[in-house]
Amino acid sequence: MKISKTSIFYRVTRNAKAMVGIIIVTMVVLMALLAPIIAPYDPYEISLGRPLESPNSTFLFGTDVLGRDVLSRIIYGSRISLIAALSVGLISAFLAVIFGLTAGYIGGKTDLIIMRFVDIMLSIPGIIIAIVVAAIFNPSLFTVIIALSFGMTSGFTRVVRSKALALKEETYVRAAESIGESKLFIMLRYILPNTLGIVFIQIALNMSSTVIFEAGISYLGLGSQPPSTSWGLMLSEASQRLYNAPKTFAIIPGLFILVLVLGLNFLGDGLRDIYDPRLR
Amino acid sequence: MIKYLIKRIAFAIITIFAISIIIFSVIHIIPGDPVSVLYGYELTQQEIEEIRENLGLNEPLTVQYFNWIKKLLTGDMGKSIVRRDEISELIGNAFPNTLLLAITSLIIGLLVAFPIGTITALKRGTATDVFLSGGAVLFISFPTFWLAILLILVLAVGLKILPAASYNVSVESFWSWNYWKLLIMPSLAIGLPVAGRLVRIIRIEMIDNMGKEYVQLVRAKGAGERRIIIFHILRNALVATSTVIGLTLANLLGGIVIVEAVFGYPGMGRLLLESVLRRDYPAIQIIVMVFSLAFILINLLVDILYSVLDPRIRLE
Repeated sequence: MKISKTSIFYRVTRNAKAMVGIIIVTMVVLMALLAPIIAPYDPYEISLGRPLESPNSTFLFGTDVLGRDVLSRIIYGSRISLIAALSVGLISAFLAVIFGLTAGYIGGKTDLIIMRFVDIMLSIPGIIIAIVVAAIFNPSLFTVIIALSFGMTSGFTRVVRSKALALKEETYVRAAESIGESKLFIMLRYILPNTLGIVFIQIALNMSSTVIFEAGISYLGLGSQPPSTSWGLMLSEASQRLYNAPKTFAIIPGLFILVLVLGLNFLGDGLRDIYDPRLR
Repeated sequence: MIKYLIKRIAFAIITIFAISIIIFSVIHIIPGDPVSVLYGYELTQQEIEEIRENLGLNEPLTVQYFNWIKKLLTGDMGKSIVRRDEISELIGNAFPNTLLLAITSLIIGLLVAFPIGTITALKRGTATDVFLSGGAVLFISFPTFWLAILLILVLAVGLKILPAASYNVSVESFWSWNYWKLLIMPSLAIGLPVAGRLVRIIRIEMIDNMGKEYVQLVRAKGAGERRIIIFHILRNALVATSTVIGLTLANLLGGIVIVEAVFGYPGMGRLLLESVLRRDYPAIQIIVMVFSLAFILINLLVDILYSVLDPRIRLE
């Protein structure tokens, strides 16, 4: 089978960083999808064993305060992180592309209005938004996703807009304009496909930020609520008992967060290397 | 340049007001009347009405907003609903602590990032570069609070050389070793991931600058390699880095809030969290305003710094 040497597939598979990232993320996704099959116990069932046991042959990662199997909870926890990451990634991408392309290509008043709004949103740190949202509504994974989508869209819009501004000057765009193609058509046919590179990179990076954020906010009690299996929530349970519980209890959920975020970061970096190799 | 400054400052002020409006409206959308929630079981309906009248809660929202702003501008931040303290007092105690934490973390981040970033740029492509850059990505991927927990596990629970919680921090004890013992772990937990981000930016900027023509010129003039690196390249990398510090600020802030929670550090972050958990809306409003204000101010300062360092911006 002949693979073109410049095709995306070829370039991605030759880039070590991106491949490591893809492998890690795929493994976590598989873990999430196959959770009911690979998890040894029900993650919500309490008193399966004595509470706060160290890892042993019955419970590979030990048990938590309520006697639940930590391994099963970790496996199911991947679902929470991935759902959050995917939702925020896609929602913010969708909104950012719409706003960014419009602001960048159409320009004029629309651009000014959109960018003023974006600048104001960017002036409030994301975590503050998330905390305020949690203060107003009953905190849950859903509120976290909404708040983070808000936060990530602004920066994303800026990135898309810059790209659209640059693309506006391309010859083929000018040519299309000169033969009278509608602005909408030009946006969809010429500008959008060329922004996909940075869009995917940004999605990967946003997803990695989301995983950390969700874990952090759930850690504070303002995100996923018990008995959710969010890794951040597990860490908060662990950190209240650092002197009493087995050390693995505090280390393992964090380790999984780290690995997933690392994978997503490698993926984003790898894609960025492919797209813009000067900076290697 | 003056025109640029004026524009930026004006925009900052507009943004602050816009944020205050947003925060005010958002908090007041919440159904439920704060007075009856707090006092409902003690007072009669009529007394509740009187209190509402006194607090001006029956006025239309826009009037309430203007009253709030007026009071704020004169320094009256109101009372915390839950704690019956003056909010300004609470903030006055918490703010210096957080400021200190932020500055220490930033210093750690810079001290670690600059040497490492420079080395990776100089040795780009070698094993050292891969190792150090990989380390940087690793630290960026660390959840800040997990890093904090790990530090506690190792240093406080395991080796027992540092205390695990920072309850007794106060500015008066500034000069005692005790104070710094309590500050080290939180600053490391925040500073190291920040360093990771900075390393990457420094690396990119230095590589970018190394290829520029002025470097060849200076080299042709016979300047030593070290002098080139320090005086010329680093100086220009500094320009980009100052903008990045503005960007890193958001992460810094987020890290501060979470780390203060882990260590129980009595700063603005912990204050915000407590207010949120207790639904202390007046306090939440003010604290969010303070955070946003700080954020905007620092971005403004960074912008000004940037325009001072890079004359090209001034001419725009």
